[in-house]
Amino acid sequence: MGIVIQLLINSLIAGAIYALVAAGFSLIYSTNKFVHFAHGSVIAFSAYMLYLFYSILKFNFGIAVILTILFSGVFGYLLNLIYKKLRERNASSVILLIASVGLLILIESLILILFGADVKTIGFLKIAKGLEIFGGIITPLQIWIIIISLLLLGFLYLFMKKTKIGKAMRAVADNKDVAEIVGISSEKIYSYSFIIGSLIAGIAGILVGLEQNLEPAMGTNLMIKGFTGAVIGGIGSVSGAILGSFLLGFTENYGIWFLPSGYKDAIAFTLLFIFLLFKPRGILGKKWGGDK
Amino acid sequence: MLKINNLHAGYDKIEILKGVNIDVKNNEIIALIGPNGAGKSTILKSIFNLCNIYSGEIIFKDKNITKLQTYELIHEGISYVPQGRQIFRELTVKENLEMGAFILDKNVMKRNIKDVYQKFPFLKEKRNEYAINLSGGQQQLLAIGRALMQNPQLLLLDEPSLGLSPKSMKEMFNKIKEINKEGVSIIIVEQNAKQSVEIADRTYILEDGKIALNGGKEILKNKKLKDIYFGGR
Repeated sequence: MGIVIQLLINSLIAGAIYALVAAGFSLIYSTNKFVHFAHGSVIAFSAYMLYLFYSILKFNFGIAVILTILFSGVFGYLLNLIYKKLRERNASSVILLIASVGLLILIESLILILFGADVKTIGFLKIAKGLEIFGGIITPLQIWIIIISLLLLGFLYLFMKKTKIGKAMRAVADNKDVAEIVGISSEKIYSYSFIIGSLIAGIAGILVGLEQNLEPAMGTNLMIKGFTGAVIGGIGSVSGAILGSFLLGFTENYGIWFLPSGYKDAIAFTLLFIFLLFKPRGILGKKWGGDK
Repeated sequence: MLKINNLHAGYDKIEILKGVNIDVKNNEIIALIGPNGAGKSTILKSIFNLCNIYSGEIIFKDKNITKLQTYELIHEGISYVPQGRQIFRELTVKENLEMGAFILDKNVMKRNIKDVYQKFPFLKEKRNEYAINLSGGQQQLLAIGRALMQNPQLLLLDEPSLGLSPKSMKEMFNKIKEINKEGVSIIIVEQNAKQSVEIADRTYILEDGKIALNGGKEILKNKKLKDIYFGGR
């Protein structure tokens, strides 16, 4: 019984993190219609920013967190400016995809140069004794990860459904040409998606940075998981991305019940390939396809 | 109300319109007809600054509006309904209408949505449904409703009857007449020549990027019309 609960807890924690990555990634994909792999670098950027502000510059933790989140948003905005330059030269979505992989490698390399290859810890939280729930162990931070993730995803849902900008984002995702005709500037909407997606990635980076060690390639690993979650759920659908991410978290963690834990990533990749081969539009994928 | 003077326009380097002159008076319905590729849709696109204008000018209410930005044109009182039931399929009917008034004040939006619901009661009934679930005719009316959210004085309609059943088509033309009666001038581009000429006050017939003929309903009997459509020169 204990192991079932423990795996359930582990699945929820993994799913919560993947969902944050996938939701921002999917939001950007839905409006911009290209795969922004450099989204992973925002997570690493944010974790290292928190390390810089809190562990090196010794800022108050709350201030360090707020600065990190703000910087992540600005970072996303700047990434979009690079893509914008390419779009102005009529770059196709494949060119933008290649550029995004390039940016991911570039940013991780910069982190490597600036902070070094050795593993860093933020060390805000002393190693806490976990709470025992029905035989499973969960730390207070892990409870926070799940709560913050669910809250953020809830806010994102309300934002997309209820606010004027959120509706305009869905409108651009749906039909950019008509959106332009009613006076919605798609360039502005692209920027907003990057800022909001990166803010969420920034928060994910903070949570991951507190839970695990920091290493320059941490963004790539999480991006692959987030991307898998987004594909499983139906790429371009934010709610699909969330669903897919939790599904991935569960499959990975219950999978290692039967397989050695080293196969965790292999499980994720197998799932990704199964969906790409047999159900490329994912669970909530749309019949009509958003690409034009 | 609207004057197009010697307009040359097209896409990149392909010139479609080769010197077009059109004059729309207050409260008129103007039909633009002609064979495929004559440049009918391009006229609407050039008014709404969606193609390249090489020379010529477009004057709306004594103001030169050539190459104004979309949001400026909407503020001037021009709305455009593109071809082919262009709506936001994954947004609800109400959200589609709200997006129509995206650049307008929230109070104006609320007032306009009431007006649109009055004109198209089915939109109010289905306001919480996703637009993709509407029938073809209803989707086209939603696209027109979305344009009416902008309170236009001049409405540009690009082939609104395209792909509709005869019944929906009839309803569509009736609605267009109703909208016009409330003081909105309309330019309508149509493949369906006969019906559009019948509801229009005047018709312009395009051939190869130029106006070949213009006139009232009697234009349907003009011998030249057949030549333009069937190339019997």
